[in-house]
Amino acid sequence: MKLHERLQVPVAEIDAAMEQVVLTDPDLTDSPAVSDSILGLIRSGGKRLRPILVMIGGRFGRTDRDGYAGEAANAADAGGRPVDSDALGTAWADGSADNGGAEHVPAAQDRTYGHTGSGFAADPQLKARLIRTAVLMEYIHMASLVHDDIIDGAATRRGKPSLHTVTGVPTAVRIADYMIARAMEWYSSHDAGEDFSPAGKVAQLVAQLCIGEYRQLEHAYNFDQNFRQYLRKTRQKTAVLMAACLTAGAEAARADKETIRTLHRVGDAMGMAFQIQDDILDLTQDDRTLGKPAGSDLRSGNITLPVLCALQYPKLAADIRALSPASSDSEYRRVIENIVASPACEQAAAVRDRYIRLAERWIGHLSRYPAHQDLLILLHHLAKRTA
Amino acid sequence: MKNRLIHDAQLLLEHYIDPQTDIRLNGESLPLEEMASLLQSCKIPYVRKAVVMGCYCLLCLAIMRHREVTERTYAAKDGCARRILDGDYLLGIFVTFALEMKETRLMTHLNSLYKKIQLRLIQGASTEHAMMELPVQIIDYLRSEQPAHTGGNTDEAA
Repeated sequence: MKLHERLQVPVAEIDAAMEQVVLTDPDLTDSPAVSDSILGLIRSGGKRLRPILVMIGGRFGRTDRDGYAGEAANAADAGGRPVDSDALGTAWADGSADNGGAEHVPAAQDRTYGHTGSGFAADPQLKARLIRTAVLMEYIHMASLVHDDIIDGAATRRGKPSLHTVTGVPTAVRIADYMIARAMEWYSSHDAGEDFSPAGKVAQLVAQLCIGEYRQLEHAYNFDQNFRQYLRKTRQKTAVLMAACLTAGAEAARADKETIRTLHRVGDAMGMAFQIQDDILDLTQDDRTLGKPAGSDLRSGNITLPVLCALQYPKLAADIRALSPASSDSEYRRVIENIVASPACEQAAAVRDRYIRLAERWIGHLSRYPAHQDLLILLHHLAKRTA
Repeated sequence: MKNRLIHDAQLLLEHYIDPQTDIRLNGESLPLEEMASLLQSCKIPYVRKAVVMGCYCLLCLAIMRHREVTERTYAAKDGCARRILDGDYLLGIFVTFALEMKETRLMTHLNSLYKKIQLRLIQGASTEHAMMELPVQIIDYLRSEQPAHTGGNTDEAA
């Protein structure tokens, strides 16, 4: 069973709405190549992780399908002390990993997993609002992938030619620009007179994601960067968007502020675990599974957590530090094989697991909502995925 | 007066641009004078003129930055990544700035105009041609607004 089926997220409806964004644009009648390109991107699939996060976030509204009044119960919630989740990563780096950050984390409640259902039947308006938010988030994500592929010089995505290799670079840049503008236009046309804050937050997100990418550019081939810098970059590149998707769903469902704050922490920790797993897979999976060359992060000078861990081993560090944009494919392959054969990936996995535990503990704070089980399913699926 | 409006708009925006981006608004040669001239004759408060000018400035610069992404800069890896990021960042700041200045309707209108410019560029129009009507379209929009959204020509109050 696929993840969205297990979580009862209506991905087919979300995909259909995504197609409608372009198909209903009255300004696009003279540009079939643009609509065909975007429909091609939508139909090429993808995890639809951001829409899933939005829809699950929407299950934490003030009144869920069981009639739970979140605000009232929230008042009775004991709460927990704040956590500096970066401490989880840096604790490993400074040798205090055994209890890194854990003592500051509120205790999780023991719950068994199990899906809780979509629960939208009683509120079709909420479902429509969540789908619109999910579509907006996925469009921003898809557009950013088009630009990322150009920045990384990636010729393929999911095993297929990336957009810029088909349309040319300038056109691909503009198609992605069009996608962001059209998604916002479509969103606002449906929400006229309503709060426009999701679009504002999306804009702030776009700027924040860019700052993460500027950092990555600035630190390309910088083998002296430290764990804190890596964690900050990872948060801005990945975790902020995942946290924003969860909270956007919760806000659309009128969740109370404390629940939204907790969901943000869940999304942040989940996003960090997700990205670290992505970093590990980039080195350990083969080209065919990845749909792009293995080790493409390292090949573009992006220093990920397993590479930072590998830099602790003098022999390996010397080989890694010798890499540059001019290094050959065989040089990269040899170094990647050596990193995979070292304990570096296991050490990175240990940091990932700390973020998983942190996310679990924050999810434990939401155990009064049946949908907390959906978060656990999602967390374990994402953080331990193999592709 | 035109230069003062441009200068004031850029001052307003300075607080929004993260120094890490290295984007300097006053170091750019942007086609801002026509917009400034048209805004001068518009009967809206001076502060709002500066906000509109700021939005226009951000959109212009976002479009210009992405125009510089060509097959040549891509192949030569000649600052291509930074230009893409600059354009994306500036678009994000445009929306953030407009919403913070309580210009939601203006932002949605400008966003639609920006979208149409992208379509013209995809169809092969030059940047200058694709953006030619933008200043007049903005002024038309300001004039078409409900009276509640406008004010007198209060340049004196600035």
